Amino acid sequence: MHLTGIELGGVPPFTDPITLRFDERVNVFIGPNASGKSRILEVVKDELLGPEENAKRPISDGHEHLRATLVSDDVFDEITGSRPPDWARGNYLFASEDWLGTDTRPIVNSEKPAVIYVGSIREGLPGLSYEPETGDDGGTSEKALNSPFSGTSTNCAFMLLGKELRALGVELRLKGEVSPFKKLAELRYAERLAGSCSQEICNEVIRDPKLERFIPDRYALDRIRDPHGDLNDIGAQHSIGIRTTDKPNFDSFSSLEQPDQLLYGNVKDAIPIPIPHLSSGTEGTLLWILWLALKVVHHYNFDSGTERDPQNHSDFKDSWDKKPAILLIDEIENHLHPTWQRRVIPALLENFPGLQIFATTHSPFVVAGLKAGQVHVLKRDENGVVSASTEQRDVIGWTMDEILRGMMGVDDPTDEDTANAAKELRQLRNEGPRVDEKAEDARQQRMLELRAMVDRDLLAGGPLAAQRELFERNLAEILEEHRKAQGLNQD
Amino acid sequence: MHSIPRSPEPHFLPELLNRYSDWNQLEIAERRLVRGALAEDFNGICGYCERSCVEPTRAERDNEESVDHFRPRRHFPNEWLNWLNLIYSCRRCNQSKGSKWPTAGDYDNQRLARITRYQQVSEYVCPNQSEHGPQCDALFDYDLAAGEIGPANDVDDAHWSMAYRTIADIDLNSIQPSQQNLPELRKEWLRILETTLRRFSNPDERSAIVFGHCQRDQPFSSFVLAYARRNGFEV
Repeated sequence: MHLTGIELGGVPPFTDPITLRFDERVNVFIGPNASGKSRILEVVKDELLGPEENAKRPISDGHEHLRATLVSDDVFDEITGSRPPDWARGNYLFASEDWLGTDTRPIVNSEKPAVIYVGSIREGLPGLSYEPETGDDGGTSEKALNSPFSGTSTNCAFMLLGKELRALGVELRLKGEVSPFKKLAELRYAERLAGSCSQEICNEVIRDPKLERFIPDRYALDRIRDPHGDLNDIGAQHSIGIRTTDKPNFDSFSSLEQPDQLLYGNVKDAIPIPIPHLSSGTEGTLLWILWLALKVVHHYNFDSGTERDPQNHSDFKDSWDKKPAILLIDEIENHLHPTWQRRVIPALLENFPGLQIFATTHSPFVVAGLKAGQVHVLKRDENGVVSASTEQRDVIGWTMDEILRGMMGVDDPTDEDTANAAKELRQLRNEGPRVDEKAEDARQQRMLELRAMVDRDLLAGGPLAAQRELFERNLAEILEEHRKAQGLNQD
Repeated sequence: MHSIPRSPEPHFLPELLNRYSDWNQLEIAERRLVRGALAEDFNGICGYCERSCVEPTRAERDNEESVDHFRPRRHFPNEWLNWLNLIYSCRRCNQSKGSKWPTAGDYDNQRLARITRYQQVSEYVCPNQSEHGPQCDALFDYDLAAGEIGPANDVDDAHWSMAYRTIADIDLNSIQPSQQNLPELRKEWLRILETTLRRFSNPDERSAIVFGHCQRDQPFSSFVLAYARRNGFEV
């Protein structure tokens, strides 16, 4: 199930209704601040999950005129006429045939996709902390995932994993069953998947061999020696394995006799790096990707479809990580250097084949490489009316300068003073010569001054590079002709 | 701007003239046919700004090739397919020029008032090399350091004003943010030429390179010509 479009109006800043058609995989919203990028994500989240308690800007209350219509590609089954599932609230979800909302047949026959919302301030991720439970048997995973994040420690995701493991261990001991075993394997798979995904994005740091020398071995050993112990203690908090060299190896999953291997696979392949030893950017990225993986695995109830075949990893067609999920993420480029910003979306697409991404960004590096229909541009006019359009060109092979000028509306991608000088120069040129001699002289003088300021900084990277290529090609031809002529002369 | 010797009218023009009565009625393929014939005359170089129109740059595409009517269709409806009235031009120049015509009634009077101190003259400078009218090679000069085109100093007032208005109305020194920065492009072209020349010590080869880039099939050839004349190259 994918979302294929939205019709939205009646909620600020969308005083005029907008309609957008969504791409199946990636939807990136760009536009100036206060143009409603985050609002779209919030509305989609509200429509799919229901209104959030204690929301920062509640959408459903106070905006009686809200008219949001999400369109999905699932089709209503008229023959059975079954009722829409509970999660398709009210009349908000409609079939795709006539997508502008005149066809109001609700969707049925589909599984609710996992919906993950990540706000722009990563500290505020909801549900990342684990509230300590009374009693020995830990808490349920559902409760842990939905409780609010305390914001004090970035290790919460890992504490959560630890608690989860501990709860499973207790369960294992109490019931004497092997059933949570599969759950454990899937959790570990989620951890590894998130690890390999964030490694693709931040590989320079995570793979840095110099880093490994500074890692105290005892952290790793603590965790390996005591996998079912109380993982809230200091050693455990600091020793989360994220250095993955490949996708998880499930060879050893058939035996309970090797608890070390159960948790860490081949220890040679995966040496745990304590989280505090990572850079804050890597940490932040890893955090929300791990959270994404955990939410999806919980949503699909640890269902890997078939029995995992240790020999053939690509066989898991129905595994939870291939199932539909919707990621709504604000400011996807947060914390990342430009070279890493370029990798976020490709890495997510590769590691989560069923994921439909809705992201907002202010970075041209995120937009670069997207295809036609994947970038939605929001514009705000002088009256505050926001309009939306979808970019119909592939953004492949563009320079950042071209993206900034042509798509994000940055007229002069340079510092403020130079941009203002360029603006003034342009205005003076447009006004044309003055009738009064003195005024004209002053104008000429001012233009000379401005020209000296603007001169170099208005270089346009794209066209100039193209010129350089053209020049080289022409030069080769000219020289060849010259040498031919020389040869003829000598003969 | 440089003057272009025009070839005789292609054979398909009279037929098109018989069949249609306005440029808008032409099929896309027929427009392409006309554009192709013009491209041969102009060597794929815009008749006004002298950029290469063969490979438009990706994002802005303002140097995509197009057909300009030197005398605008709006004021000269009979000349819509006059071969000598058709100029090979980039989209930017075509759009800047629009349907402006100095002697037409709706010419921007405010603009005209501002430039009254340069005496009025009938029209723009045409890139065609024809027997009538001034040859545009002699009417323009360049500021090499700034990369800007300007009217030549050693012509009479009437022609000076004509050249001035051509530059102003087609915006040949455009630094509009939505367009490519023309002075910068010219300067960069010269910079590449100069750095290339440093690689060659043989004077024959050096002059051959400069001579090659002064030919009409090269971008900014009249700009390079001005450079060559001032730096003592034989061209």
